[in-house]
Amino acid sequence: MRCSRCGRQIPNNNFTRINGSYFCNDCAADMGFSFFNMNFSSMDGIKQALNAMEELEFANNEITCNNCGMTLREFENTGKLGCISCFNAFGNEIGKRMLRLYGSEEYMGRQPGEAIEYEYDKEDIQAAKPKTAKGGAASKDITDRIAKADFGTLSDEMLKDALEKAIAKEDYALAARLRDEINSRKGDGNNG
Amino acid sequence: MANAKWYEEDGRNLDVVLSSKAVITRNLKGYKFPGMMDVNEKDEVTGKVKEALADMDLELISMEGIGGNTLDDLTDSQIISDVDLIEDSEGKAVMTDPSRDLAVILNNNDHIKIKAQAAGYTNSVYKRCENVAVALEQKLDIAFSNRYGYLGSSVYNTGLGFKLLFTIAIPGIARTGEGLEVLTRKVKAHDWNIYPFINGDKSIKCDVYIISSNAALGVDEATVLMTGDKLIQDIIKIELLCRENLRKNRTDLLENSFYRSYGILYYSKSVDPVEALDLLGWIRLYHGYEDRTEVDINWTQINTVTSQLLWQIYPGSAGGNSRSDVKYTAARIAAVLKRK
Repeated sequence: MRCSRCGRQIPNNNFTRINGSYFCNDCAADMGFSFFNMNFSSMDGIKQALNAMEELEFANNEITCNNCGMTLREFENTGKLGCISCFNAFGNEIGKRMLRLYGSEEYMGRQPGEAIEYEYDKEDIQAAKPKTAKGGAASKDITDRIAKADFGTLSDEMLKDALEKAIAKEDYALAARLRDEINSRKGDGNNG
Repeated sequence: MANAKWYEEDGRNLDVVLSSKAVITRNLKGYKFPGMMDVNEKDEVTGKVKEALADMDLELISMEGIGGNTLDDLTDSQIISDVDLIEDSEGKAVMTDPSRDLAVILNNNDHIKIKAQAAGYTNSVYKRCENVAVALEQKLDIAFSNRYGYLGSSVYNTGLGFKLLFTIAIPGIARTGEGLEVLTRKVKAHDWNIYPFINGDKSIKCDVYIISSNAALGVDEATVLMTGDKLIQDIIKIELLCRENLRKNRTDLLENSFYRSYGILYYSKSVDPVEALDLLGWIRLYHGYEDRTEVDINWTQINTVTSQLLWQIYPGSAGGNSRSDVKYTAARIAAVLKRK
């Protein structure tokens, strides 16, 4: 889950829910909603304010784009916009959706009419050559390529296989890295 | 090859990457989005785009009443990937070049969708797309805001208005325990998506997947290209490692399956497209190790057959299921495999 304000991932249960949206505790505190900083005598007032906001948001479903006639309810149901004026009419909801989707509300791309500078097709990726293909060239040992690979993308079985081969080749530096990766996975099933 | 389509051309890393595609979406100020437009307004948009791209030598094809060879051609060329384009076709059109590697789709969900595609792995498809986009941006009044970037008919098309996609054949990863899970985690960690080419129909055994960029705000185009480079390079390395691992441990199975698969694909007079896709997976796993005096096949042929089959049976494909006849399928496959 991402914070509706700053867009960062929220660690488990470290969120504050305000009017149906989720905020990290830092943002909630900035907005004055942290329970640690709260004067509990103001709870009733806050509760009333939240209820009022929910009613306001519900009422806002009837907001209509003056240019194309699309309503906020239609946009919420279909996800489609009718025209570019809808971005003004439903700006609040669009901003929230984009923050949820992309973790950012900031456009950083190129301006119209300008091309970007980029070095296309810079690197050539070498395909593995068949080791024993009839008429083919010999390939490097598998451990040479494993040493350069991202361990996070290898299965447990492949890591164990690579570890055996690295030990057989007396490549102890690689073997140590492989062993560490295998051990770290035992401790954390989500590592990878 | 005379009249070769883009997917029959040579390319980099054809052993893993079937195709690279870039898509840029743009809309014009002064018009509602196509879902709210009448046919006269759509024709006006088409006229403006056609005039702006007059020096690019693109053929304009109306979607109204399209069928027969033209529809098959545009489907096989992967230009029409959305049945909406032909089912509600009034005022919709496609501008495309002879090799079908560049297309401008008009008045579907957005006014303008520019698509560039190439065989194998290349990020230069973005450059081709960008050339068209920049020409349009310089000549037409494009919907753009400093806050949201390029404005689209949904939040998914707003922001950069750009997606990069790679179609990858990964039988090595898919048939290695935990391989797909690890790959999915890695792709998602970079804020990209991965999904099977044939999505939703679990009866189809297919090792072809698409990875696509997701971010539209908070990053620029160069960052998307760079991330794509890194991801695809890692995927290619891992897929080739998995294939090598399988070949070492299951040599007899892979060798036998390769020759059986090749024989069926080469000689059959009728073959089911779904079965043929599975057979192509075995071909991929052992190709490069076969006796070349017995079997003469290359990656371009393997990928051409794969692409044809995928776009024959792809549920969202315009030509779609009407072309899944078993005799038709066998004849198409043999025609490609018997090319010298």
